[in-house]
Amino acid sequence: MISISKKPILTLSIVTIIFIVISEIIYTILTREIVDADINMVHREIETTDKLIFNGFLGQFFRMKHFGVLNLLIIPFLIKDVLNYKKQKQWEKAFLFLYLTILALIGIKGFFNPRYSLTIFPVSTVYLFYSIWSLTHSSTLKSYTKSVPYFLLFISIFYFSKEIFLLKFNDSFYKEHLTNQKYSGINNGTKIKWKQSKTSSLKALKMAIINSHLPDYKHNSKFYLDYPKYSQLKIFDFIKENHLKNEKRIMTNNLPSIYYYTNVNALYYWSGDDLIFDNNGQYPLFKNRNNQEVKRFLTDSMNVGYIYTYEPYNKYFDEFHSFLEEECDLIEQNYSTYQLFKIKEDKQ
Amino acid sequence: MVFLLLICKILFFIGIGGLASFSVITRLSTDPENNKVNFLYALGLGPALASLVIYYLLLIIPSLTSSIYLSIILLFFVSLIFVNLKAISIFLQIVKSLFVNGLTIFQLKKGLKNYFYDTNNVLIGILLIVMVFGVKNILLTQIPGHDVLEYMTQGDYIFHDKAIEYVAHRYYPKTGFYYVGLHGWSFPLQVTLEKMVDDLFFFGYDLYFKSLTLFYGILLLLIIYYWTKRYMNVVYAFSIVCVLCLAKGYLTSISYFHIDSYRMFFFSLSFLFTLQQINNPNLKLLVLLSFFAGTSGFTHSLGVIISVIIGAGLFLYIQKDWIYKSKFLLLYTVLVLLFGEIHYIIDIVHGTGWIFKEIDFY
Repeated sequence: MISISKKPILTLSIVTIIFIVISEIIYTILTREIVDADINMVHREIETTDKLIFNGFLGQFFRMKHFGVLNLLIIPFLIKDVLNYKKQKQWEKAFLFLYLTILALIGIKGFFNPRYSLTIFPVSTVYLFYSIWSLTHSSTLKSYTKSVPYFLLFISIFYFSKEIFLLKFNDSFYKEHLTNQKYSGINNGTKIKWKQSKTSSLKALKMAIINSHLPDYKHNSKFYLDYPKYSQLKIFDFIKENHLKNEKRIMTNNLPSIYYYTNVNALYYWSGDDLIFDNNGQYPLFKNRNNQEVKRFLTDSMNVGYIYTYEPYNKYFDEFHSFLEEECDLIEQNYSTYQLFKIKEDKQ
Repeated sequence: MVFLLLICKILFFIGIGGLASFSVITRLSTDPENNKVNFLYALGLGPALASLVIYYLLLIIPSLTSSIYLSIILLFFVSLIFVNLKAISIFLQIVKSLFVNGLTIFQLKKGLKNYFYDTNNVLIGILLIVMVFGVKNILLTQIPGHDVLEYMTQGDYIFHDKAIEYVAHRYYPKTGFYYVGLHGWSFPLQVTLEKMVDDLFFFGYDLYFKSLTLFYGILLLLIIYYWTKRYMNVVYAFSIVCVLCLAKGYLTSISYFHIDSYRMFFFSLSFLFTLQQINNPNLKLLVLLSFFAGTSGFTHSLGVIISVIIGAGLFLYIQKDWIYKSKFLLLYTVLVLLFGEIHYIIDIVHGTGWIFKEIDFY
């Protein structure tokens, strides 16, 4: 113990390497690909029992993609504090009560969505550093107090860099949509087919940023002119023109942007639960209906002729996906795969 | 011109609203040592306070004009400033020191090590970094996705209706929009407030609403920095802020428009104030805790359940007799309801049914 306390840098370097190796193994296990799993669960990274437990219920500690790897270190401190509960100060006992209860609440009610775990993330981070600070301040490990945060910072930077420069590039979504973009469909009556060559990881990153911050046509028309394929403008323009011509209305698949950016009347639908929302409340679209019946219901009863959707949402529900493929034509699509379909008209 | 309007909105809701909140906070917490951190709390409280006032106004006296609603909010802010007039000079002094310290970064008078010892320097530093990375471009983007647009559309519709009504199905036949959200009005009402200002100027965009994501994310970082520097040291404080910023979850929450940084701010402060209350119960500061917990609930359903957990924590861990604890809890409950969570009770009794309705996936 004496020799360890005399060489904090060396000891911390060794511990850091061991920690990175262990966390890397856990990371690999918890992010492994599962073939033929439910796409909704895959998207939420909870498609197997172990992933459900660690990425879901215990997501605060194990969802490394979102919270980094340092939260793993909270576990031993938490166990130690719970075991020493009676010896703690009153506010520390209260902290444990609040932290564990809220953690349980988030784990049970929000296991499917890392955003719920995010709620308590700042508290977790402060707790981790406070625990380390307390440990090194009140024991023979005092020489570690100064060095530990630098090592934690290093681990954090290491994983952040890895996430940015390696994982983004290999992510299947970006691979498909950004680095190897394919497009085929009909645009203004003309069949278009094109393919973009592969790009560098940095360009993919740039595209990813553009992708998640689509240009606002209200303010930034230049961006649209420069990068028309990234913009939703063409889809909204089409929808507005369509509305002016008094054509059939649009059904939007859980995309409220249509209401915010246009004033058209649209039917609200969510493929994830196969539910239509309107003045009658909520009811299923595909239940007890085949594709032909759905088509008739939409076109005749609801006066719907178009479907506005986001490509990943389509795969949440097989019937909806097959309806789009069989009964609709893709007429517009932008980079981030917001799509506009036209329901095929029945041949006379 | 769009950015000039943004500055006006910031000055009104964050500036005057912040000063009003600061006035009340400094009245409740008289320790001058806390002025800097109280200033940070106050900045965050301004917009939330405005949303609470507009909620009650639209609920009780609907269908007035935007100018009348904004005038009432201004009057309310001014009346709060009168609670503690001394706060004005302290507030302005802190603002002035922000600018003065901000200039030192260019003069390089201080060593880098000293630089991080001052929270104000860090504030200016972070703001400069944000500007360098092009906040303008971020704000000028169109928002994709689902959740935040759900709030924005709802806020826009409340603005057009100039009323908050409780109905079984929040459905708008004119456009077909159906609000599927379960959460309170604090966040969508920020859009309503912004649209009301736009209404006065006959133009304007949603830049203020978008900027709140970044604003609350940075504000929370600064508060964490302040307290951890005070209780640990500057290296730990700096490391904590960096670790948060280097996690994809937090980084996304402050750069991608969403409700998260707004609700995290109020949740984290209610957590902090609960621990402070347990350590040293204080009826005056209970008002602040209740406001943070109430706003956290008024923003997101999760916050409602958390405010119940906080109530349980107060009752179990405050070291006073049962009568004191019961009074304390009763006051906390009343204030939390008053500060926004009453919305859920009305929604259960007269509205959609909240979590007791059929929808269970949002």
